[in-house]
Amino acid sequence: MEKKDNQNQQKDNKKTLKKEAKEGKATAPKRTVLIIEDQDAIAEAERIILQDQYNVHLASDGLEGLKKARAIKPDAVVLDIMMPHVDGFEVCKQIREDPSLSHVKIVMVTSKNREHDEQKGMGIGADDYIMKPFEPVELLHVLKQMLG
Amino acid sequence: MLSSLIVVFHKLNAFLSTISGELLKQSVELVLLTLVGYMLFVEWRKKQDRELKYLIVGFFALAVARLIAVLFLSQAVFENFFKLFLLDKFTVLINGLEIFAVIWIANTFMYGISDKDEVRKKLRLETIILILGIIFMEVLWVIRLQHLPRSGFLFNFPFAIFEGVKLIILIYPVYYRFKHKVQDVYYNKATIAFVVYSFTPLFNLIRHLFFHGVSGKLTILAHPFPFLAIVLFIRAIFLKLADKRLIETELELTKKKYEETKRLTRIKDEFVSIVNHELRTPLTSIKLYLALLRDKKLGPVTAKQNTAIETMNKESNRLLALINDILDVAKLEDKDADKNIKLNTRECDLHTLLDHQAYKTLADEKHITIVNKIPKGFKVSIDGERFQQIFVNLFSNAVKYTPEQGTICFGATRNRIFKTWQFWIADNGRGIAPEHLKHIFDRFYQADDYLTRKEGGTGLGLTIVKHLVELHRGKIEVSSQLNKGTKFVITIPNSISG
Repeated sequence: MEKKDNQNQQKDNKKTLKKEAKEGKATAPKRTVLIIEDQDAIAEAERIILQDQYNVHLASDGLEGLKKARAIKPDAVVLDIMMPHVDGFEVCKQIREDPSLSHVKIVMVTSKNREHDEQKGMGIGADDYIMKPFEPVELLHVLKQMLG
Repeated sequence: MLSSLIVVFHKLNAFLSTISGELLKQSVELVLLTLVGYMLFVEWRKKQDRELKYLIVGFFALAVARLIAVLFLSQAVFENFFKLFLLDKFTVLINGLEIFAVIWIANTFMYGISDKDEVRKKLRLETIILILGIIFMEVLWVIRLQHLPRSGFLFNFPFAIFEGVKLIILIYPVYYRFKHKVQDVYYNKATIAFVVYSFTPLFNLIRHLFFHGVSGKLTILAHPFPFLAIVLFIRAIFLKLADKRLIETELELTKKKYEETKRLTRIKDEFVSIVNHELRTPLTSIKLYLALLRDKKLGPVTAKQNTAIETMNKESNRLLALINDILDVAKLEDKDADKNIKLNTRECDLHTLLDHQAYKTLADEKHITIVNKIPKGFKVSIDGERFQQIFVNLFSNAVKYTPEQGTICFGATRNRIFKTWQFWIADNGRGIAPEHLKHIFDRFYQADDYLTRKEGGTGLGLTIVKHLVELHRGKIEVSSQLNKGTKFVITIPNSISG
């Protein structure tokens, strides 16, 4: 069922693109990014940074993040590591275990500066890693690299 | 005085060579052996130690041999003298038990110093041979009693075999000690006991081989040694037990200390991790919003506001540098830093690695001339990222203390004899006074409070540099002359492992 839905969605996207091309709108549709971050101030700043180029959704903890990821199937997840209840590593693991989210790119954003966290994150399936504090351009660059 | 002592000695010896004397001697030995056996058993119940088990078997076997002897000797002393001959029928058993005991005791001491599996195999083999030997000797004994005249060499020969076997078993540990130059203190103590014990079978062997089993002097001479040897064995065993217990207690203490250290390290790690998180999180918000303000994502910004934003950004960068320095020091000063921090060692071109625009920008403000004297293509095996961290710290320090339009010069040379290479960086700044020089690698140490405060800095940079150099198995030296400049020299082995 899910596969069919995906296929239909892709077909719809293609149709929309063709339509837009005919109408002279050459711009590609915005990709969707889900920010999972428990610090509201940081989440809001990240939203402002990304909103011009992406459709941005916010989740304030790991559990909500997983729910939203399954519901909206984002193209990329910007994932904080240290969060209450379910941490970023667990969220990353569960996203990777979910076949319907296999396409999702994951950027881990952490305040830790320890090498083993980076290795751990990459080991369980994160695609990239940026360390707090970061410049807006860094986040944009990482997402651009991943989503094209 | 001396003559009276000699008389007492002779009388004692004369008494010991009688059946009553023999009974007394055997009884004392029996009590002693039983006591030792019991004490060893109590010890063994507390700790199931294989060496203790062997000793218990050995000492109880000796005690049983003495018990049989005591039973028949007391029959002879207290009831009927002629029943002493009954003892003769048990000679094989008594001697067999004694040999069995000696085998087990000797192997116990071997167990402490030799290959444990080998000793176990040897012990099993020797016990089997002994059982077969006892059966053979028992047959020989019956033949001897029934068919041989009660005097002469052949009648005494089985005794000689027993004594010979005992002698060989007792001498072997002594031979082993000298052949392998054993250093074990308990084994050496037991060796003395083996030597002492071996005098008895030696004298008995001579008596049976050359005096038809009858020699008063040799009998008297052979008397005291087993007793003495048992005392020496006990001494060696209990010294070992006491030391073992001491070692175990120390081990227990060390384990507890280790656990405690591990706990504290874990707490420290958690603390560092939480502090890291709690400091970086607000800083991230601050820096992100400053960037958003600067990029006019939150509305128009006036020129004055922009200057304020730049200042705030600069200050937050300083704060970030401080947090990074503190975390670096915490990580590098960990006693397991060597194990925990893995160097990503690879071959780097040092000239290119340190020829970075960012460094030049640092010095531009003060119009400082930078001279990179590292030969082009100077390849070294290092963790490039860590070495850049070393360089940034030394370089920014040099920039800080070099006057306007001064010069900072750095270079590298290779020492083919010592298989090392050196990196040096020199400035023509105000230099460091000799009394400060020896402390500059101490954390939070700053040579000049006023100036440092003016220039900024945490006093952690050089501590980090020193640790990072040591992580590269290298060393750092500093030389300085006031008002002339400072030079740091780092020496690192050509090949290092991460």
